[in-house]
This record gives sequence, C-alpha cells and structure tokens, in this order.
Amino acid sequence: MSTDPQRRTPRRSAGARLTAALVVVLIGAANVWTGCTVTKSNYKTLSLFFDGVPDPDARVATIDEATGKVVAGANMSIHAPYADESCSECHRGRLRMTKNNSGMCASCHEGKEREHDYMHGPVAAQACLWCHHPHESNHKHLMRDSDRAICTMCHVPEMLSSDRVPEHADSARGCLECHTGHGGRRPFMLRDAAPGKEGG
Amino acid sequence: MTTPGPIRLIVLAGFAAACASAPAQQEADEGPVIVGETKSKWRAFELNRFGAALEFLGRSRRDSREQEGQPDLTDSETLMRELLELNGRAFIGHKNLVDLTATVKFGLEDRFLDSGTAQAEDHSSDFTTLFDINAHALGNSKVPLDVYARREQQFLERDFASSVTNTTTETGVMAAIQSITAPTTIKIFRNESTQDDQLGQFDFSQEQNTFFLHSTLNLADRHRLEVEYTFDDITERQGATFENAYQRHNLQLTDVYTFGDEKLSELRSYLRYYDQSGRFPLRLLRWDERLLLTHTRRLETRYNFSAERQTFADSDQDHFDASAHIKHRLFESLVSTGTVGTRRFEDSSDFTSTEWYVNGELEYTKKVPGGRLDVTVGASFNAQDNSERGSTIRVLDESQTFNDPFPIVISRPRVVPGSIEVTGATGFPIYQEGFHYTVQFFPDRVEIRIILGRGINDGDTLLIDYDVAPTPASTVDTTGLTASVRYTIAEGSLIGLSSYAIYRRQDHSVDSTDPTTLIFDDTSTFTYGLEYRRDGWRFKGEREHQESSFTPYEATRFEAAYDHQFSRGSTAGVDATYEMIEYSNPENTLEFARLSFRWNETLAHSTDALLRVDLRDEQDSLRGSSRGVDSSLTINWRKRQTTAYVTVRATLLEADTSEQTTQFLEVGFRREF
Repeated sequence: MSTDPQRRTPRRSAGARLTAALVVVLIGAANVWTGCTVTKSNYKTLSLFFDGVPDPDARVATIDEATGKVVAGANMSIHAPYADESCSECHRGRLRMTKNNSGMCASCHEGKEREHDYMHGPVAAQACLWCHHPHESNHKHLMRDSDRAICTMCHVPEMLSSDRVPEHADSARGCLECHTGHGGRRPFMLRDAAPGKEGG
Repeated sequence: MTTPGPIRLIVLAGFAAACASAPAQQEADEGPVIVGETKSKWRAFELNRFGAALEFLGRSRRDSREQEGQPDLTDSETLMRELLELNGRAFIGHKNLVDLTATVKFGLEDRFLDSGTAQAEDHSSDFTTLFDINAHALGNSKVPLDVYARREQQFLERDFASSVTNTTTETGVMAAIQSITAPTTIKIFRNESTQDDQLGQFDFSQEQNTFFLHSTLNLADRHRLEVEYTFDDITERQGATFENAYQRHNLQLTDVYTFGDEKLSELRSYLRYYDQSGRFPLRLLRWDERLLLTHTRRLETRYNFSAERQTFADSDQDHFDASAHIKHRLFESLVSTGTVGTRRFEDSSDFTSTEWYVNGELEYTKKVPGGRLDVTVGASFNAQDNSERGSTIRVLDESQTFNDPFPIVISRPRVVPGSIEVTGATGFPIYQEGFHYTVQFFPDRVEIRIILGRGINDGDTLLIDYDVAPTPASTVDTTGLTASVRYTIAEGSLIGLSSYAIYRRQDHSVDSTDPTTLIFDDTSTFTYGLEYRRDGWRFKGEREHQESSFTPYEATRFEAAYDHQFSRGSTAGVDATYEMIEYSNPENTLEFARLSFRWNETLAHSTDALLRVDLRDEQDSLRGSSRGVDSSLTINWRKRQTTAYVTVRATLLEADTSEQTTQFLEVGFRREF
C-alpha cells in the first residue's frame, strides 16, 4: 500500500474484478444451500456444519397401538387434547381461532393472562398462538420456533438496547436464558437469576 | 411574567366542551351515555382533589481558570427561587365528561452573576410562573378532546458563562377521532421557546404555530393509507442580529399493501412533499417504493426505489436510488445477505454522479466442542463516476458526535478552509474556532479537535456546516473486505471467555484529470483480542494494527467493567478503559485512561445517596497532556409530605499550561400540604 497519494496509479481493474467475483461467489454459495434438502444420507454431514438441521429420522407423531393415543416424537411437544384426539375441546362448530384471539386457551389455562406482576403483552391479551402451536411442535412447550426466532418477530434486533445489554447482540443467546416467556415478578420479565436493574 | 391567556383558554374550552356535551347528558337520565358510568347526576363543577406545596431551590456555581501568560479568571453564579404550587383535579358535568387537572406554580427568582470572563456583574429579580393545565373532554363522543397549556423551565449549565434558562410555553388542542376505518389525530398548538442567559449574549427565541393531522385509512383488510400533514409558522431570533420567519408544509402519504401467506410480504409506497420558506428556502418532492417478498420463512428479498428533487434558492438537486437485497437463513447457522444497487445525483450546475454498488455477507454460527464459533465474511464494491463540479457547494447540518478524546472527522477531501461552522444539536450555541475547538486539514479529511472544559462535553451531538471546493471529473472505485472469527467458551471454568480476530480492508482507485485534488485513504486493519463476560464482570483486551495511506497506527486497548447489586437499594458499578495508540505518520503516542465509578445506596428508609466519580488522563506526545476529575454526590430525603435533596459537584481539569476548577452546589426543598 503506497503512502504517497500522488504516486498511486488507478487500480480499478484488479480490485474491482476480485471483489465483484468474490461477492458473486459468496452469494451464490449461500444460496446453493437454498435448494439443499435434508435426507437421511446427508443429515450427518449437514449437522456437522450447521445447527438446527431437522432430523429426518426424528419420530413424528404416531399412534400408540396399545393405547390408541397420539404419541410425540423425540423432538416434539404435543398438546394433550390433540394427543388424546379430544378435538371438540377446542373445535366447537365452525370455530377457527386466530393469532390475535386465542381466548379459547383460557378455558383450560385460566388465569395465565394475569398470573404475574409483569405480563408479556400477547399473554395478557390472550394471543397465545403468536408463539405457540396448538397441536404439535418440534420445539419445547409447543413453541412455533426457537425462542430467538419467535421473539424477534416483534422485538426486532434493531430495537433492542445492545449498548446496555450486550447479550442482545449475541445471536447465539436464547432470549429465554434471561427472560421469562409469560411474565415474572421483575421488570422486563427478567428471570430471578438474570442480571439487571430492579425497577428499571 | 404572567401568562393568563392560556388559563383563560383552558377554562373557556372546558365550559365550551361541557356545553357541547350537555345534550348528551340529558340522555344520561334515560340510559347509559357517559363512558364508564350508567347513572350519575350532572354537576356543573366539582373539585375532586386540591393540594398545595412550597418549593425552594438554591444553586451556586463557581468556575476558576489559571492559564500561563493570562490573568486568572473566576466566574460565580447564584440562583435562589421560591415557588408556591397549587394543584388540583376537578370535573365538569361528570368525571368522564370533562376532566380537569392543573398544576400552577408561581414565585420569585433572584440571580447573581459575577463574571470575570465577561467582565460583568449582574443581579436580576423575576416573577416566575409555571403551569401544566389539561382538560380532557370525553363524554359519549367519538372525538375525545384534550385542551392543554403548559409552561416549563430548565437550566442549561455552561462552563465559564452564566447558565441558560430554557423556557417553553405551549398551548394547544388535540382531538383523536375514534374510527375503525379512519382513526385520525388532529393537533393544533402554539409553542414559544426562549433561551436566556443573564447577560443576554446568547439569547435565542422561537415562536411556532403548528397544525398537525395524522390519519390511517383502512381501505381493506390488507390495504391501508396513512396521511400525515404538518403546517408550521415559525419565527426564530438570535440576539439582535438574526431573525428568520418562515413557514413549513410537510405532507406524507404512505400506502401499505400486505399480501402472501400470513401477510409477510408487503408493498409500501411513500410520497412526500415539503416546502419551507424564509432565509433557507427548500422544496422537496420524494417518491419511494419498497417491496418486501417473503418467499419462505427463511428467504426474503427486498426491492427499493426512490426519486427525490430538492429545490434550493439557487440550485436544484435530483437523487435517484434503486437497490435489490436478498437475505437467506440456512437452518440456525448461516445467514447470507447480498445487495446490488445504483444511485444517481444531478444538480442544476450540470454536475452528475453515478454510482453502482454490490455487497455480500455471510454470518455463520455453530455450536462446536466446548463452545460456539462465529464467523463473518463480507465484501463490497462501489464504482462512482463523477462529472466536473465547477462551483463550491455548501454542506449543512452534518451531524457528528464528540467522542472524547478523539477528534471529529469530516471524511472528504476539498473542504474549504475557513468555511467550517460548528453548533450545538439544535443549531445553538454557535461555537468559536480557537476557543471551543481547533481545525486541522489533511489531504483526505478534516479533523476538528474539541478543547475540553469550554462547554462541549463527551457524547455531545454537534452540527457542522462547511464548503466543498470545485472538483475535477473523476471515477472512484472502492473495494472493501471484512472477515471476523470468534470462539466463545460455553462450558467449564472458562465459560464466558471468547477470543476474536477481525480483518477489514478498504482500497480506492481514483482516475481523474487532476489526481492531486481527490485523495482517499486506503486502510487495512487487523484486530485481535480476548473478552470475558460472566456474572456482571466484563474484561476485554485487544490489539489493533492499521496500515493506512495517511494514518497508520498500532493500538492497544483494555476494558474492565463490573456491575453489582448488593441489595435491593444498593448498587455499584465501575468502568475502566485504557487505550494506547502509536501513530507513525507523524510519530505520536496517545495514551488515554478513564475510570468511572457509580454507587447508589439507600442509607435509611427515607434517604438515599448517589455518588459518582469520573477520572480521565490523556497523554499526547504531540499535543500535551491533561488530567481531570469530575465527582458528585446527591442525597435525597423524603418523609411524608416533605422532600429535600442536596447535590455537590466538583471538577478539576489540569493541562500542561492551564488548570480549571468548578464547584457546584444545589439544594432543593419541597413541602406538600
């Protein structure tokens, strides 16, 4: 790198071509994966390089021949009425719940919307289906996705204070490591063990 | 200083609202009319709560400065204020019909100033009135109405100058139309702001009359149109020399159409018209289209287009921008992003600039044995083709933040010496070169160095105006590369420890008829370090090596921080940083250390204290050294209806040839009845 600006010669060609080619390769390489389908043969290879690869051998919900009930697979959580095939507990007539109004859940899970000092908005509004799937899920507690994926649907990373809470910028951290999902007795729904300011 | 007008306005508006709602009240006898109540009697006026309080405020500040070869300076300022506060809540007709809340404070204020800097002494006494009055008219209307008037006062401290009293008076009416298809907010207000210093050297005032409207038209389930319009009539005055009276129209239409599964895709269209008269006339017309396509939960693309015309008093400027962006998430490990776009700029002097750019980035994260691995790789390319610019252009209000001890940098060549003006974030005050800051010109940039202790503090936002000289035709290619890797231990006794390395490179290629006038800095930076975060502790140590056409350097940085809550009412925190930068062109070593300590303690049931200490030490082998300490202690006490507080603050800033100190004391007392 020259330190005398007057002696610099135009280098448009080499740097430009190199960078442009690199960008194309990077984007191309990334998007080749778009069409990548997980199969039994490539599952182990993909899992070696990536987290979150769905296991094609994971058991899906099956019928237990002995009891006749639906049983969750290894990576699944399942809603009890669904497992018990008690569809009518939720589906009455032409009932169709939406993400904004899942008050039906309160008929069994009564009081969830007001059980903590600090409540999560969707819980207080009984919008359970924003975060939970009503039947079964590949995540714990019938979550629709990983906690970070769900939380950032509303709490976009740009809105989070990463200066005061550097963990917010760490995409490897799960939101539920420090926060509770429904509510708690500390501001910002912080878990008891999480660092943070009381009353703040 | 009394302002009875707004109070009369409130009272009249309250009665007007009550009269307007009276027919509705008559219906109340026959059924539920008033929101929240079904059967209650109509009352012309009922006082719901009434209170009073006495307030005392005393402030005293003393600044002194010693400088070699100059006489010692001492400035002192004292303010005493006694206020009587009356506050209450009442309603007209019914508590849900017209709800009145009011707080009014009035009293006396005495100020004493003895300024060695201004070589003046002054004593002034004023009658002070502050108020916050609000009338909320609800009734059974779908148009709840708020009428308000408020007058607030703040004191802005300035070193070696009298403090500035910032007084804001605002009266207005706000209506929120409760409609499902077109919820609308309308606001009309008058705002008068004044900034007065005791000697009248930095007086500033602004009068503003505003009409504001915002409406959301829900055209269909997936389609809405937002309309926002603001009209301002503004008069600004600074001292006896500057006055600018102007009007502003600002209209923005936003059309949002969502589509696709779960409404995850959308098309947003913006149209904005802005027109400002006065000394700095500007007319702006802008059109934006932003399309977001969510192909799957893991793949999305965005397409943006904008066109803008700016018309100034003596020139026109056209801006065009188009870009496409793709983002793909592969499982939970890889996020790929890419952008390609073009920009074009034209102005009425036939100057044109066309730019093409492309960039891409891969962010990879993976759980690995013992921890987590994060890798980022990115590249960018930008090609700019500029025609000859035959005239000087003025850049206005470039926003920059002062980050002590580093200079503010204007990163462009051809800035005209003597054209730089620096002001505060609101355009006030106007800072003086040589007293508040110094300017140093480099081939590729300009550095503005802030002189500490003259009123500009660490973290302050500044607005900078400057001229850029004519430039020859040129093509400029810029390539950028970034790569980083971080390994974080997530198991065992070293959990929370991470090591990282970052490489950044930027190169320019310039082709011009006069290459000596267009000079850019090519840089290559390599940073590596260790970081540890656990249980409120944070440690960081890193080394940075930068190759550069103009400013090569080696830097070593250390950071440590700890925050701890001892009990519910007891917290403490400490931050310490040390940085050493060795510049090689010209040779210079900068060492900067800072220590910040905060302790908040509840001493008794009714008493708490906050202690804060900041230390800084700067050693610059070219520009000299300076050391400073800023400490303050605040004690708050409250028992039943009585509150009191005291704040003591002392600062010392010592440089090679000067020393300045500040002592500040504030005492406050409030008794409610």
